[in-house]
Formats: sequence, C-alpha cells, structure tokens
Amino acid sequence: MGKSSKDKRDAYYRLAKEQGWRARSAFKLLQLDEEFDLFSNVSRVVDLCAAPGSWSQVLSRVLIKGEKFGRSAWQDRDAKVRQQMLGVFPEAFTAEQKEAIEKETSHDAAQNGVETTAANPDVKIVSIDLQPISPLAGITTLRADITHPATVPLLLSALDPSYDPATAAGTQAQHPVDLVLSDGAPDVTGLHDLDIYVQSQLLFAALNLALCVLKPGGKFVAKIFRGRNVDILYAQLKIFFEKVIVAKPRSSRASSVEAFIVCLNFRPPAGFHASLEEPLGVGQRLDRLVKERDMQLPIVAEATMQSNRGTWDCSVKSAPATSHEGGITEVEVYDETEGNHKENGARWIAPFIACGDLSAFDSDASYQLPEDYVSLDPVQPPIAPPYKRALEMRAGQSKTTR
Amino acid sequence: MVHATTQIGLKRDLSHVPITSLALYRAPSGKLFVFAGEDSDLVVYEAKNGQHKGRLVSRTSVFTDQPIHGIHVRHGRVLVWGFCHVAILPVESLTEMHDPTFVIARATAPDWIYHGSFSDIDTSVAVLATAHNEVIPLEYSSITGEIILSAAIAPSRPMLYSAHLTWISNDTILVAGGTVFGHVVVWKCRLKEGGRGITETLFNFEGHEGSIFGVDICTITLSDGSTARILASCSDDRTIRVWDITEREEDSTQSRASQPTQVINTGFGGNDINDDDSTQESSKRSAPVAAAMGHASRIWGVKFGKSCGENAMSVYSFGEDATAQRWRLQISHAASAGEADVGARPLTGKLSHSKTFSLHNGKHLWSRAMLLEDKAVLVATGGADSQICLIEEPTLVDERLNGLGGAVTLDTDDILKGLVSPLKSTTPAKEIISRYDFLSHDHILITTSLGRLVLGHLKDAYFEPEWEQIEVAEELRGDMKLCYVVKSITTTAALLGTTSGNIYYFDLSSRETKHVASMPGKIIEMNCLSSKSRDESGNPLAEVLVFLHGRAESHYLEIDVSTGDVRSQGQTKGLDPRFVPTAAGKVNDLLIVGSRHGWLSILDRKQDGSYYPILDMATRSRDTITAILPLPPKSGSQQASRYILVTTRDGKYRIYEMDRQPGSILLHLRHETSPPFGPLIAGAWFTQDKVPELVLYGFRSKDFVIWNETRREELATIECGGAHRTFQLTYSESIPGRYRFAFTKTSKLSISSSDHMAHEWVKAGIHGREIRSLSSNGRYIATGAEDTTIRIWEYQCIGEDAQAELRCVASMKTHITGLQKLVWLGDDYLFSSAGNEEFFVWKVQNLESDYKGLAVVCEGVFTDKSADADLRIMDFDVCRSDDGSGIVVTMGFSNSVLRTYRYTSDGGRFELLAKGTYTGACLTQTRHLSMRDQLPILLTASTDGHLALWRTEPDEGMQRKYVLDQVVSLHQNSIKSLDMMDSGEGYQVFTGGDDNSVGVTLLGRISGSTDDASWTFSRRSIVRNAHAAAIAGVLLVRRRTGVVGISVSNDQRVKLWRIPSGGDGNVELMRGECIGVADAGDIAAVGGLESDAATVVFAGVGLEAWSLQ
Repeated sequence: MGKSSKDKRDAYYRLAKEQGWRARSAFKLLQLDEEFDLFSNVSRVVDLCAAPGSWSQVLSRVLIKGEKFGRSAWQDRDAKVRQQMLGVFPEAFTAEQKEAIEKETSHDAAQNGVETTAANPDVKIVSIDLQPISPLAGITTLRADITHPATVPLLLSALDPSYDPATAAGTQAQHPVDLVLSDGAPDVTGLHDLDIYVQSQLLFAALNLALCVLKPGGKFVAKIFRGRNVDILYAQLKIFFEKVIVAKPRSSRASSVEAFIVCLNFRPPAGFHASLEEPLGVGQRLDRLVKERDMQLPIVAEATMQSNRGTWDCSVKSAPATSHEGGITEVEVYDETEGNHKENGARWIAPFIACGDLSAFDSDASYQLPEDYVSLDPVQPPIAPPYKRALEMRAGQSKTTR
Repeated sequence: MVHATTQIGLKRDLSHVPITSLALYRAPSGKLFVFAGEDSDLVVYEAKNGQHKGRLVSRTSVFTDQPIHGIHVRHGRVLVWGFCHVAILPVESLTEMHDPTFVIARATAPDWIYHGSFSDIDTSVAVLATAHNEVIPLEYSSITGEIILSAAIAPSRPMLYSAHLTWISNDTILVAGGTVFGHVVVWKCRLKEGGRGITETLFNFEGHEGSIFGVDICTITLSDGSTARILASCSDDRTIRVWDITEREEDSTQSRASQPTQVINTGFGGNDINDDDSTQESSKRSAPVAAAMGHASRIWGVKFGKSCGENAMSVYSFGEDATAQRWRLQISHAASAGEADVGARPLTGKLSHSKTFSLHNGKHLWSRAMLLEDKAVLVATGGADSQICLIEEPTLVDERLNGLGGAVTLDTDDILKGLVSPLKSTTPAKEIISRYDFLSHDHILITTSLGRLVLGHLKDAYFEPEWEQIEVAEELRGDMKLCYVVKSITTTAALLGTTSGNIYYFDLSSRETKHVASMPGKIIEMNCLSSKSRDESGNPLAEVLVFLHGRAESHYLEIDVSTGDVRSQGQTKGLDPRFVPTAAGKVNDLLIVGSRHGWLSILDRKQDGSYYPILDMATRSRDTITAILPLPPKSGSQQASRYILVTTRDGKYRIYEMDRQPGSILLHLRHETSPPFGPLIAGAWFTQDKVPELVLYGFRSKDFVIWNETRREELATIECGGAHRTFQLTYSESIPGRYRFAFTKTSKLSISSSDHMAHEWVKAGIHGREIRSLSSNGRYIATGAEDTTIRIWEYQCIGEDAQAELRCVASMKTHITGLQKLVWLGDDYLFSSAGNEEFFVWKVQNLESDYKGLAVVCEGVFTDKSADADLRIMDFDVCRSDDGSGIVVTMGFSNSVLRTYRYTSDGGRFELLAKGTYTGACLTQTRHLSMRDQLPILLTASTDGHLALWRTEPDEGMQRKYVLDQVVSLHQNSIKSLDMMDSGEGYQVFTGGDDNSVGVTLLGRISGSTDDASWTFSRRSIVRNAHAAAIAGVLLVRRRTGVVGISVSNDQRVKLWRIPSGGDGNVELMRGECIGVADAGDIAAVGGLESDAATVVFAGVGLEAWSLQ
C-alpha cells in the first residue's frame, strides 16, 4: 500500500502526521480522555509499553504544556456538515451544541482545536518501554521490561528520587500516582488464545506495577484483546476497581480485536498487598479473589442465577428488566447457560462504551483527499521488525541471481 | 426447570478448526494413529494409506473453552495440555473405543504450558514446562485417577514462546526454553523427594533477532565415536539455528558456574548493555553450530529427524508459510590444535535445504508430530486450514538416490556404459540424450543425438533402470539423429517423428522400427487423440495428429497399434495461416485443435477426408493451449460428453460446452479457474474412480507439480529447474501417486518415480485463512476468505453410518484482495465483493458428466470504479428486476457511498441507476427492502451504529439519487452483522454490533401493497453485553415455535435468542454454546430451515456446522 493510499484508508494515520503525533494511537487516548475525563486532577502518571511514545506525547502536551485538545482535533467537518444537511442525528444535538458545532466547523483548521492553559508544575510522568523512546519534554523515560521484577524499584526511584530500595519497606510507592496507562501489545502470532495469553501477561504486568504505585481512587487504562475468555479477565480486574468499562475509541478500527479497559476508582481488597513473589499473571490467586468477592456480594443479585442449580425455585425468576432510552428498549438478560462454563474461572462482562463522538473520523472508512494533497512522512519511522535482516538478505539474494 | 423456549438444542455435526496439536502413535497391533487437538476436543484418526473413508476413530471433549496445545503419548496414556490445563486419558479407550465411559483426569497448573513429558521409567511421573521457564512435576495416580501438581521449579523466570523437556536420567530433566526476546536457555532440573528440585543453568544462547517459537533437542553419535547433544531453535527472524549443548568437563568449572547468579538482560540486544568479560567468554562457546534461513515468514517449529548419513541428521522445520521443510545438518568437530580429546572440541556444521513440502492451504502449520521408525520417518503436520497431513519419508539406503522419493539422474555415459554394443563414434561430438517418452510405467524409449535408440527397463523406484540398445537398420540411423518427437501410442508401441518429416513405428515385443509415413515438413509435435478405438476386426487403433513446423495444417493418422499400419490419413485445411497448432483432442468425429495464441478451432471431416473448421474462436487465453480432453460422459449415457477441458499456459483451465446445431457449432465457456500452482498447466487427466477426479499437472517456478483439483491436494512436487525443458510424464489413472516423471536438466536425464503417495491427508482442510463471508443457496455453501479465494461446498448431512462432510466442488481465485461479501441469487448466480472495488458475477452450473465438479465462470466484472479504485465494497444486495430486464445490484462502499446498478448477463454490463451518500461513516450493511419504480428501497447500517432507510428521487438525466428517509441509532458503534425476515406486517431486523450487543428492530410496512410499500422503524430493542466481544455474525431462522435469532461472536460463543413477533415481549436468551471457530465472520443455514432439523454453519478461523433440534 502506498503512503497516500494509506492516508485515504486511514484518516487517523493522516491526522497523526498532520498534527505531529508519533503514532495514530494518540487519538485513542485523547478520545478515551474525552469520554472518561482521565486527566482531570491528575499530575502523576506512569505510561507503560510507551514506545514510540504517542501516549506520553499526549501526556506531555496536555499535562505539562497545558494544551487542550477538543473534538475538533479529530472531527470530520465534512461529515458533520453532511449529518446536519441530512438531518441524520437530530436527537444527538441540542441547540447550544449546534451552535458550538457551527463555531467549531468554522474554526481555522490550522489550529486543530488546540487551546493552551497554564502548565501544572507538579506533574511527574514516567514512561517505560523495552524500545528506546525519543525524549519528550518533561517526561522521564526508562528502558525496561515491565514483566521483570527489577523494574519495580527502577520505577519507584524514578517516581521518587528519594526512594532507596535498600531501606524502603515493600514495594509500595511513597508518593503514589493518579493514573497508570498501558498501550502494550505483543506481535500477534495468529494463535488466538496464545496471543490473548501473552497480551494478558502484559496487562497483568502493568496491573502489578499499578498496584505498587497507584493511589486509592486512581485510574488504570490498558489495551485488551476482546476475544475468548476475556470475561474472566474483566471479572479479575473488577476486584481492584470500583468501575471497569471496556471502551472502544472511534480511532480504533471495528475490524480489530483491540479495545481498552478503563478501570476507575482503585480500591484494592482489604489486606491485599502487591507481591512480586506471587505475581498476578500466574497461579490461581486472582481467581480465588474473584470467588471470595462473589461470596461477599449480596445474595439478591445472585438469586436468578442460582435457579438452575435447584437451590432456588424457578418462580423467583423475575421478568427481564427493561428500560427505555432514546426510543430503544434496553433488555437485561440473565444468562443461565453461562453457569456451565465456570470451571475456567468466574466470568463477568464489563459494560461497553464507544467513545469519540459520532462526528469523529471513522477509522474504517475511506476518505477522499484533495487533489493537491501532499502525503507527509511519519513523525517517527516504524520500529524495525525482527525479520528485517531476513528481508535484506532476500533482497540481496534476488539481486545476485538477477 | 422447564421453559417452553429451552427446548431448542444445538449439536455440532462437523468441525474444521485449526489443528493446534498432534501426536503419532503406533499401536501394538501395528495400526498407526494420529491424535489431533481440534479446539478443546482430542480427535483420533487411523492412518490408512490411500483410503479416504473411515479414518475417524474417536472424538473426546477434554477441556472447555480451551484449545489443546500439546499431546504426549507414553505408557498407554495420553498427556494433554492447553493453556494452564492438563489432562490424562487412557490410550486404549481412545483408539479401541471399548469403554466410552472412561474417566479423564484433569488438573490446572499456575501458568501456560508449552510442553509435557512422561518419565521413561516411572509411569506415574511426568513434568510440565511453563511459559515462565518453570518445570512443574506431575504425579498421576491410576488408582484414584488424580493428578497432583507440585510447586514450580525455575532458575530464572523469563517469558518463553517455546519449551522442550527431555528426561536424561530417571530423575533429571533437560529443559530448553526459547524466550520472547530471542534467547535460548538450557538448564537441568533434578527432581527430589516431595516435588522439590535442584536447578543448574547450562547455557544461555543469544543471537536470534526475534522471539523463539520452537526448540528441540537430540543426541547423536559421531563417526569418531563421540556423542554430542544438539539443540535446534527457530525464530521470528526466519532462521533455524543449531547449538551445541554437549556438557563438557571444562564448562562446569568456568563460565557456567557464574551464570545462575548473573542478571539476564531481557529485551532484544541485551548483550550490548552487558558487555563484560564473562559474556565474551561465554559467547565464544555460544556461537551456533549452524544456521540457515529458509521460510518466507515466521518459523513455528523445528524437529530433529533421523541420521541421514555419516555425521548427518535430517531436521524438519514448520512455518507460518504453511510449508514443512527438510534440512540436512552435517556436523563435525572443529579442527583445533592442542585438544587431545576429539569429543571435547566444539562442533561445527552446515545446514542445507533439501526439500519443501507445501501440502497445506493458506498460512500457519500450528502443529507437528514425528515418529522415528526403522523403515521411515513419519511426519504429521496440522494447519490453520484444519488439514492433517502425514508424510512418510523412507529411511535412505542409498544416498545417491538423494532421498527425493526415488529420483535418479543420469548422464548419457551412465545409460550407455552397460550396453552390449557401444556405438563407435568417429565424430568428436558428445552423445547427448535427445527425446524420450514412457511407453508405460515400466519402459522408457530414448533417442540420442547420434541416432541411437535406447530402451530403459524401469523397476522399483529405488533402483536404477536397466538399459537396452535397440538395433536400428543402417539406412534409418541417419534419420534417427533427426528425431524430434517420441510419442507412445500404447504401452507396447511408440511413434518417432523426425525433422525430415518421417514417422517411424517402434514395437516393443519385436524391438523393430519401421517407417510408416512421410510428412511435408519438420515434425515438431504429435498428439495422441485416443488409443481406445478399434477397427471392425477389433484391432486397437491409435489416432494421432502431427504438427509441422511453420504450418497451420496438421496431419491426421489412424494407426494400427499392433502393426504400425496406417489405416487412414487426413489433413486439416482452411485454418488461418497464423494458426500455430499446439494441442488437439477428438470428440466423436470432431477434431478440436488449440493454438499458441489461445485460439480453438473445431474441425469436421468432409468428403475429401480432410478436416475443415466449422468454428474458429479466440478463447480468454492469449497463451498457448497445452491440452484438450473430453470430460467423462454421464454414466448410462450412450453419447460422448458434450464438454471439453482445455489447459493453457496462462495458468487456467477451462471447460467448454459444445453446442452442436445443424450446420454449425458453438462453444460456451462453462468453467474457468486457476489451480494454486502455475502459471503453466501442461496437461490433465480424469481418474478411473467411480466419481472421476480431475488431476492437473504443470509447473510452479522451479517445480513440476501434480495436483488433484477435485480433492485440492498436491500429489507430487518434483524440483526440475522450471518449465523450459524437455519432459515426459506417465501416470496411473487408478492408483494415486503412481507416476514417473522424466526431464532433461543440464543435458542430464532425471527420472522421478513413485509407486504410491508419499503423503496422505488424514483430514481434509478448508481455507487456510479467516473466512469472512458465507452464503448458502440451500444446496451449496459459498465461502470467501482472506486468502482471496472463493470456494463452493456441498454439505452432506450426518447419516446413519456417515459423518457429516463438506465436499469442495469449486474454487475460484480471481479476487486479489480479501473477500468482503458473497451472495447467491437462486442456484445459478453467485456475487462476490472485496477491496479495491472488486465485484464479480459468477455463473454456476452443474455439468452432465460423471465428473462432479461444479462449473463456475466469471460472467461479469464490475468496472465502474473510482479514480484510484481503492474502496472496499463492504456489502451489497441483489434481486431480479421485476420487469425481467436483469439483476438489480446495490453496493455499499467504505467511503459512505451507495450505488445501484442494473446488471445484464448479456455481455456482463453494469448500468448505474441511482447513487447516494451517507454521512462519511463506512457503510457495513446494505439490503433491499422492496422495489418501487424498478428501484429498491434500502436499509443500511454503518460503523456509527445507526440504521437508515433510503428511497430514490429523480436526479439529473436518467439517473436517480438516494435520499434518506429515516435514520435511527441502535448500536454504539459498528453494526457488524444484520439479518432480516419478513414477518407479515414488516421486517424483523436482527443486528450484531462491535459493542457486544444484539439489536432487534421492527421495520413496519406503512402502505400495504408490495409495489408501493414504504417503511418505518417502529420498535427497537437492544441487549447490551449479549456477548463478551464483537458480534460479527447473526442469522434469523423460523421455527415452529417462532423466530429464533442466532448470534456468533469473537468470544467464541453461539447464542440463540427468542425474537418477539410484533410488539409483544422482549428478546430472550434461549441457549449458549462454546464453538471452536475463532474470529467468526458469518453464519449461514443449509437445507430446509422450515423443517425441524436445520443445519447452521459458522465460519471464521475454521468452520463448524451445528444442527438445530
């Protein structure tokens, strides 16, 4: 695929280059922030699996430089105009919103909706990856493996220059952080459950670090693959956070299994301590915790679930709960069949939220570019793949045989 | 609890999912069993060389929701693992089916398991290797049937992508791990009482530049008497490396001792961070013995085979490119001064490529197993295509035969040296082999540049042929030098054609050669039209068409094959002088001749005995026609087949129907496709089976390939250097895999022989990539996949004694991007769309022939593309236009544009009727609701989660434009799937979203009449969290009890929903099942949906058929 055809196929790839982001994934974080207000009252952040650094770049520009990114950063103005013309989503806009849209759409495109407020002087951001990250203003970058135990003291001392691993008791941060992010993913093999396992190992490594550094009430955002048994993972994350939501920003393709788990209000179970000797990714510790938590839940919530075990009379079963919103009947369904599949661990489906508003560029759509459009070079070249040498050798071979 | 709606049942009848693990087991009875992991089931097949039926022995569900990733058979037990789960099953219960109620012992380990191995001695002990480089001791009590796992033992805990365990004594295991970051770690684990263990790190090899996906260990004895232990690793970096892991005296005291305490850097390029002396010391020892690069993409596995000569081992590798490759590892001790003990010197070696097996479709050989037996190495491979192949590699007796399944390469001297009367040549020119042909499987007739005629007696594939010189009369000898064509006309006779225009007849029994005819030009080819006809007295006759250099006319001869007498002679006349004949066939009394530029002529015999064209036709090929043969007639039919099959150098084969009318004839193209080799198809034959199968042969780059098109199996691959050479093939129409192939390469004659298949398909496969779209017309199912091919299948339901079966009846590879959507219209039209605005119309027909392949031809190609032609046609709908003037096609594009065309089969034209544009969001679903003024009213869905209704209004000129009638929100984001069903008062629309939800929308009909219907969204409901992941397939089926919605998701669940009729009630979940199809893309129903037993097919990564009960 040529550079310019990728520009058409992938609006966010083009926008990222136009707006100076290191990767299109910057928009995913911006759109997550728009939905969940992730950055409010946040000054200490840890960004894991950060390379090439687009999420850190967002942190740097928002938290350190005090820039603000509105919807107009990713809004498809043509689409917005057409939506209004077609009267497609009348219910979606109030009068003030329409006015705001008008103002936004008439906004000078060069500004890209960036506003600047005063920078926060107390901001501390630490970014970690195996790959080197080009320096970013005000951000401490570490080159380390988040799955390795040695990374914890490394991170703690980066967060607190006064931290001394020799004297510090345990692995808890003295000055905890407000937000932990992880956009890490392995090179997928195509063997779905192995990829999901490796991805969950990255997630648990991130969670392990988060448990060491996150303050109560803090937030945790990480990439997940929505595949088989992902509901087990959701149930496990729910142990540590009040709210667990799966979010899919518009800038993440619908054709991709990628989504983001947004965990809000960190509140570890009483008596829980992050332990490096017993990391979360392996063993049955998490499953045990999930089951303990299930036991503590008020029994009423479980009533209808238990009917098929014969302990409750089926007459307990209530009619499906419904609610009406925007003309749509929301149907609650009690899944009695799921009881059969508990042997691999307790399951829970986290609520799903699509974020980035409807006028956002559609990452699945193709766009027409102006005829004189000049395709830009990426802000950062992609990371060299492990088979780079193989490609070079093959190219060399075909040259000599020619 | 009895609930009215729970009476519906789902049962899996057929499963084609990636084969994630394999094991081979030779039972004491001598039977060979193949154990395969197919999702969570352990399936046992019996290998039955060549037989297709009755291979499945048993299928046992071992885990829930978890594919099996490893199988290890030992001591009459099967150890099975997947993710963190392990199970032990008795072998006999699986292979003999005596006791269907056996108990499966199960346990759960703390981590992902990569390997498992029973102890050699203690049958109750096994060990497991985890993804964090740990060893977990396992104890199995056959009395209680319990598995007890001990605590994990590990020297360090790097993350692995592969591990291998080898018991080296009754309490010690050698562990090899391949890390995510390209290291190979080797350590010893000594088990102590109570599940404890002592570890000792032996090696940490660096060098791979990518994750290591496979490791294997073996011990070899070298010719100097020393033994060495070697390790092979394969990686993301496309290399295979072999490492010396022999423990030698000096190591234990030096570098090794310091290693356990050393902090191992993780991440690629760890060595440049930690570049102190100790690493340099160990790096001297840690250079690989040998390394090689072979596969086109990642290498998933590597395994040692057997010794293949002095100090040589065969090594097999298995790749993402769906090939298995055999390598020859030659090793020796490095020549170094000062070391007295040869065995103490490090090893050096070389890996050289010896053979590639490309027996699978698509990508990924996920699983492999090997059984080393005295006579042969058995290699089983399992792919993402759900296929299992078993390759038999005979142990080599004679290295000169090169192990290529009986190939022999001969110089002229090799052939001539044993002959009784060596021709004393006065000319200094070297005698080289000129032309040849096989008379039968047993004989080959060869001419040399000096006019010698040699008969080769061919024997067992592993022995050299015996040669016999044929005496040729003195006066013929000069002409024999000019021999340009040798053509067998029966198993005992051949014709020789010379550039001087003479044709000679050679008879095997008398060894005599005689002149039979003279032609007015250089003979460049002779085509045997048939050898089955007989004259009045029953003498077999052969019909031959002789092509002359530079002439359009060719000469027809009818020859008595037992005497060589010419019975009749004729000539083709009236052909265009530019016509260069290259291939010919005969059906009844009609001669069909193909040309170098792709023309076909049909010629009829006139009074004068000459053949005159009654049809000259340019085919779709501009390239040489290589063979023309009639299709087998329908059994019971007295008449010859109306169809001919034509192969060409453009990589395609075509089937034409001859439509004979008084005084004229027409040829209709009925089928056109390219097999997965080419571009040169050299010829074809039909097998003698009850249902004849089509076999094609030709070239793929440097290989000669024999391909069974019906089964879609590669029967033989012979490396010959490419298409530009003299070659001949003899084959059996009844025994698969029996052939001989002779070719000339660098003036040498090579003969490759095989008596039977060197490999078999234990389980047939499907696409090797994700299936994106399914469509059923009741009888046939069409699948479109990421591999850009479309396949059409016939589904045979489960029967009394028969397993359900999916039989491929056609395969088309015309798209160049991954398929988006397939739709049948009736039984005879299939439409397909993909990226790059590719849209094709396929005409599908059955042939009146015993050959059961479906005839499919691409009738229409959509050409009205955008300037860059880079949009995806996400979805489309088709219906017959109600005035009978064609087919109405509406396409939804990725740039939010809708277009409706009228397609007419006459010339395959697309005429634009109407267009419209949505908001900019990608349109994912497009459906016709009803027709008004020959134009459809549309329902669309898009990535913004909205449903929209469209009608047309007049636009400029004749065209109309789509205007939005109504739009409603339903899902939060992309609507990935949609099905609808007419409920009488409107449509029930069932949708599946990327937002884990299913939606049910009622589309009410406002005005009653069908002609003037208009629609409105009257009720919407949504079930959030219907699945744990995106829902890419939905289907509505009508049952006696009401309408049932079926949804399938990336969470690998199928759910059945009660769909409320009209305004009453709500969506209710009726049932949920786990399925083995990952990344499910579509659902379709086969057979009668109204009947009580319907079959529903799910496809994605794999395909499963379930019956609804």
